[in-house]
Amino acid sequence: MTAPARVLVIGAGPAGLAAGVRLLERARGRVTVTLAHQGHHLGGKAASYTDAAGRRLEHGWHMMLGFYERLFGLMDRAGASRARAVMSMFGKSHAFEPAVGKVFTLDSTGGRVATAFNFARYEGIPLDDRAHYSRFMSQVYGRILGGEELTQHDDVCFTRWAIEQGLRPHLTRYSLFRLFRDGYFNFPEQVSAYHVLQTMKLMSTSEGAEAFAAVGPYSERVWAPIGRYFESLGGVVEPYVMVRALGYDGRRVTKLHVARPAGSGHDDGASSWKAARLPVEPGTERELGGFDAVIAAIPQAVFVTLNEGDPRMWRSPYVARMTNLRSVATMSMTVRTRDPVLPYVGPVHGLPAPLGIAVNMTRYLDRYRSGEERGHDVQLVGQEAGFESWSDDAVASFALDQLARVPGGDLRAATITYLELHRNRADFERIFVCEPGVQRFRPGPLTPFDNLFVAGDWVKNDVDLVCMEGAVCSGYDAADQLLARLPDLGGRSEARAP
Amino acid sequence: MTHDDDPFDPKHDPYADVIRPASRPVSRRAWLTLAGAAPIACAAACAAPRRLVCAPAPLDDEHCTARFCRYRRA
Repeated sequence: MTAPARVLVIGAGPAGLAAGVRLLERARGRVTVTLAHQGHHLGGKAASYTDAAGRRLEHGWHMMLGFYERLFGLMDRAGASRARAVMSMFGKSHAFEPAVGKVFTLDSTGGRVATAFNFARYEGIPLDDRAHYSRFMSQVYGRILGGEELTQHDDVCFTRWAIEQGLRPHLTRYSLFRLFRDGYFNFPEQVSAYHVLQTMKLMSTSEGAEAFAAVGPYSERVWAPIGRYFESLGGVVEPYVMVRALGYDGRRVTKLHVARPAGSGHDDGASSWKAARLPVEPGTERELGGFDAVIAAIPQAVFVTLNEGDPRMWRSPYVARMTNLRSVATMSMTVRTRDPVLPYVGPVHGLPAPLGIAVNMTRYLDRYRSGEERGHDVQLVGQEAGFESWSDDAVASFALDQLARVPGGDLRAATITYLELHRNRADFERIFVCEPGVQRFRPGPLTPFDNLFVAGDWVKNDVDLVCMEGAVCSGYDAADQLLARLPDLGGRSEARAP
Repeated sequence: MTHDDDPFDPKHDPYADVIRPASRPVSRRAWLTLAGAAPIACAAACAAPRRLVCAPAPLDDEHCTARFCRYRRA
């Protein structure tokens, strides 16, 4: 008789949780699953929670999009339905055009024709340019929906791609164009045209483009219920396990070198995590064995820190490719004001880096809707690239100055009662960058080790975008690949009972 | 460890084909075109009229306006 294969999933972000749940949903009785993660909250980079002091900690501001079918399905099965966890932004987003100092609304409800009509009515750019832009976008959508292979456009930045395809170059300076490029990734540098086109493809319907904001901290509303569902299926969650290296024998991973992160590493400090890597609690280093297979659902920036003293591993072509991948720090700022501000439903794009997107969350968050808290709550999000040397005060002050140019966005005038800026700089918080040419270096779920699989939004998958849905899809892929190889993974033989 | 057990042997790389496709070989026709066109291009470049008269650059009468000219007023 063969005992169930013991699977260890490392990382409790969307990918790790999805992989763990998938394994138990599909092969309960044939596998046992332990989910080890280093933090005290589930959700990985998509975590947000309120700490003991009442500060709400965001790893970047997140929204969910209508095309997150796998994630919504997982939430439904876990009893964290969309209706209870998130609220629709009613297909609205806005672009601030600094040249005219006005905010223009984009409405994705009403289907493709209505969306195209919205572009044509966008008064932020001159009529002639608008007609040209509209025509260009309909051609692009025609190609996307006509089934063109989009990965062929991976080698070039979306801005350059658009110009090469005939877009008037000066139009790329408008926020209406920039929101395609950096609205999704909040990334000021080059973004692969493939990734923007893939985003446009998945968001080409009203349902796919509908954006949702969480009504409370993500870890509590979304990830904790999924974690409980995982446990109800028989899974075990082990917190405070930080993986530092893989131990292997031939083509099998046999043990993991782990340690417990020091408590001080979880102290967020004034505004950012103190170190790239969490410090280790002395004396807690140990070897973790007793598994037949591992799914490493950890961020790319963490994966490339494993086995540092093993040049043979890092020189191998498979692993060396990963060193070409990059991750960057996100920034998030929460500002609460006494008086009403930013009267827009949905996000406002078009602010300069580093905090390029602002959202008034007051109408979504439970504690404001229930009257528990008064005032307004504005979230700003972006990436730190290029602003590493700026002090927190300088960044906050610059962002407030820029937002003040947006009609209704003067937060200082509305009396700021609370301001929190986070730089998510640690390895495990960095977001994967889809720069041009990145597809060549992204791995799939398989590795050179027979019993090691990787998952995360940085791993190639059907969604292929850096988002929660991409991570969930990748987690499912890794679990499916593992299950397909289950007979070879060598569940232990159990002595037959006499 | 046998060769087959080496996880870092490129043959165990599950995505080896993704790295980069082999570049297209240069065809015989392309080589012949290059061999024919290169001498003509070189000859044309050598025979092209050049300005051989030095003139001082505006605001810098120490140097010549012609690119690569080594003239310098003594």
